[in-house]
Amino acid sequence: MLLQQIISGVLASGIYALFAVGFTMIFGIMNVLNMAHADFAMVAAFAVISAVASGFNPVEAVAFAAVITIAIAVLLERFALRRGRQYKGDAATEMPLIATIGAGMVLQNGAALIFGNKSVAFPWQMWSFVNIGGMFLTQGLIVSMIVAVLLLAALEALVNMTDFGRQMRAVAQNSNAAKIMGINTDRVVVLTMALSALLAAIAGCLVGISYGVLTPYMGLSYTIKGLVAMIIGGVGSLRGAMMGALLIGVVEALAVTWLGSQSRDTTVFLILLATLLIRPAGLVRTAGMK
Amino acid sequence: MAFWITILLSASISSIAAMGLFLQIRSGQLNVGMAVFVGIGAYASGSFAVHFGWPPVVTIPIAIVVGGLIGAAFSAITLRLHHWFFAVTTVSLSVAAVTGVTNIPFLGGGLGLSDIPIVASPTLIVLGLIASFAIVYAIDKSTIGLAIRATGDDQILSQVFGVPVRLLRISAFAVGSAIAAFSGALYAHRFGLFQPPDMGTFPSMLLFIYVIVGGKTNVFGPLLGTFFLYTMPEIVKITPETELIVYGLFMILVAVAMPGGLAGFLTPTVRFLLGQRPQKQVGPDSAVTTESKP
Repeated sequence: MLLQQIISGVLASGIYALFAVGFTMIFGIMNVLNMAHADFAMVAAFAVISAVASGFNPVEAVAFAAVITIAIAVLLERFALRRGRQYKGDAATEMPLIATIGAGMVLQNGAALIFGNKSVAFPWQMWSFVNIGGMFLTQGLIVSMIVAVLLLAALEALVNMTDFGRQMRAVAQNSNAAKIMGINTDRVVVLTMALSALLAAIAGCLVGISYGVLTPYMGLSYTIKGLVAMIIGGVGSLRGAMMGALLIGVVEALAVTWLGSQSRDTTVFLILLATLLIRPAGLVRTAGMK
Repeated sequence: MAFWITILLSASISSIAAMGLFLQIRSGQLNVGMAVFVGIGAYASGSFAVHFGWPPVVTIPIAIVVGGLIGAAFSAITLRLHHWFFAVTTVSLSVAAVTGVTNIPFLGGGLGLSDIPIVASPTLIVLGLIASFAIVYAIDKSTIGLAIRATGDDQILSQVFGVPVRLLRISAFAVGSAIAAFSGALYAHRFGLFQPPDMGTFPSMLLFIYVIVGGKTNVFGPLLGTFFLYTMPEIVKITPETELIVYGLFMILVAVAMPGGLAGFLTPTVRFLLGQRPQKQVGPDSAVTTESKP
């Protein structure tokens, strides 16, 4: 029984890890907390729903959703964040934070206006359980865990092995020095934003597959879990974010078993507070993105 | 007319909390969970009045003290956190607080605390607004206010100059929470009902928007922002969903074009009307670096 709960927690953490890595990428590169990140996932999921409803096949629908999400992310960076990042001092992090909170509100309420403020069913669902060695696991969560692991491995390879990854790490360590060394930092920022939006879009589809229903305001709970996972793991560290997500997934599953489902959010908050008190730098200490 | 008085009284109660939030934001603590402290005030005052039958003269000061103490404790715990970490922690706090309160029968559980004696008359609310504004104005214009502003602008630099950063952060947050708790007590005693969602992320976000859109660099900002965003939807007649989209666009506009918010936008006009010389603003909020494009 305990093992079953731990395994379902681990499986649920795949989606959290995708969100946490998206947050940590943006934060590492731009020094901006993107509070609208989880709303990108919501936009992507709703784009898939409307594309399927108007008769596209699944591949086209997902591609459409990815394009829409990336377009919104790039426009947000260009028109709302770039100027804010040029302010001096702490305003350089505060102003983009405010802009992303505003963008999140626009996306949430725009979706609520178009689709209505209610739960919408995702076109493909994998609700059924599979029995693996006496444990009952949801199919959708297994699929999302596999997709998440593949994507995160690809991301690790991109950051560590390619030329673009080296540029990303350079910008994360010191943006000005990277610029002096001839790296087009604005291009790196835009591409990172697009990459994180793509991760969010896929995460949104996985949420739809695993849990079946979506609401325009679903972003908030993933924002919190992603951000808390990022902070627990150590900001700017990809592996730390994955570890943080794993921890949250497992603790959440255990809290639901032992304390009931209302205790979920409170537990996440307590983990956050405990981490900040004991190890404020997170589990993995980093300078720049690693 | 009665309709407008209702709107303006609600705006007054909200703007009291917004002014508390202004003080916190000024000290560099971006609190995106302010409604939690409003809720603490409402529950403290309401539950003592409902369960023990104490008069509001006693319960409202209790609410203010409880709000201030919990605020001080929260700020002391999160002392090491900078702007964005602090924002995340407060968002997470507001989600946790709603579920937490739902499980406490003493506070009415999920249905909320009802039958709170309705004693907050319009006079009391207006007096409370004036008093809160006077306190925030006095703090902001004093040398302590200057030190608080320095803390918010650059913590390390102000520490170098001998500003007691920790003490100021905690006390600014405590005073802000106490003011918010007062606003919550007024809310509870005006509507007679306080429910867990009233202290959730949505009302918190609204308070944050009031301060940011109104202007977080000017004492008049939170007042202006709250009253503007309360009356604007009634004059233009837009639905609640569209209203929030407009608020979100306002936030982006503030972040991109007018970092001083409405108050910062209006200040030159007011100075002109008063016949004063235009004041050159200093500080990071007004200065945009002239970064050369590659």
